[in-house]
Amino acid sequence: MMLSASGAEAQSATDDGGPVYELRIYHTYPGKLEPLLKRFREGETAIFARCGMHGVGYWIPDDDPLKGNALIYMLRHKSRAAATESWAKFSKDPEWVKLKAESEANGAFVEKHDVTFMTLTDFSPKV
Amino acid sequence: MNRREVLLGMSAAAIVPLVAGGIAEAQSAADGPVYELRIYHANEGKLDALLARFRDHTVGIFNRHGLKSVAYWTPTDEPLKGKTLIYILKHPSREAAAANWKSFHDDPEWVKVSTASEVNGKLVEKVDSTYMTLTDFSPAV
Repeated sequence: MMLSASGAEAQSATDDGGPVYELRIYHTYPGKLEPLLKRFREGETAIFARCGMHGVGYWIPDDDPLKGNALIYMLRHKSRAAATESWAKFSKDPEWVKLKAESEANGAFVEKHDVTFMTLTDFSPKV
Repeated sequence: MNRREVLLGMSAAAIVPLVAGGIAEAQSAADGPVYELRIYHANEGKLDALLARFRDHTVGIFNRHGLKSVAYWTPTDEPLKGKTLIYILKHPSREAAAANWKSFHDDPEWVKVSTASEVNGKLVEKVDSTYMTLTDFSPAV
């Protein structure tokens, strides 16, 4: 029993033992990348920060087929549990709810988004 | 001979290309760095060997050829968990990326290491490469 308990603890220390990174790729509807970027620039990234999500970088692809219709960005969270909490907080944030409703009055921006949670490898620079 | 002496010794015709070169340089500086997101889908059971190759050799060889590592990650969830390496490189320009990848592939250590690491089969099934530019609202990376 002792062994199994410390095994579980070690496992849980691994799960919560450091930051997790979230790679998000947003595929936008035709003509919607510019308004999406504007929304990130003017409000969304600040709301992320308020909800405890750290923006590592925001990029747009240079080549077809993603050029002009995709936003790629990465967030850093304190842990996977913190990521879940932050996203829950974000989606209920009054400024976000208003910003999203107003900005998408003429149609949704994002057709599809890919989400990949990751951890740094032991040989990676810090980021 | 100093720069002034060199310039004084040049004919007007020789100076014109210098000016044109200056413009090309300014253009390339305005383009700024490019980032390359690379996703390696490892063959079955080959992720650990791939990570070992990066840890022990690839990253060091990248450095030697001006391929600057931003960071390296492994996914934590299915379906990518245990078989994928994701990393981002930073290049001074798109042209530099092409030149640096070429010199990397020709590097004698890389040729030796990649051959030796794949005697029992290729480590990587497929590579997705996406060149990207930072948005104007992004933190510096």
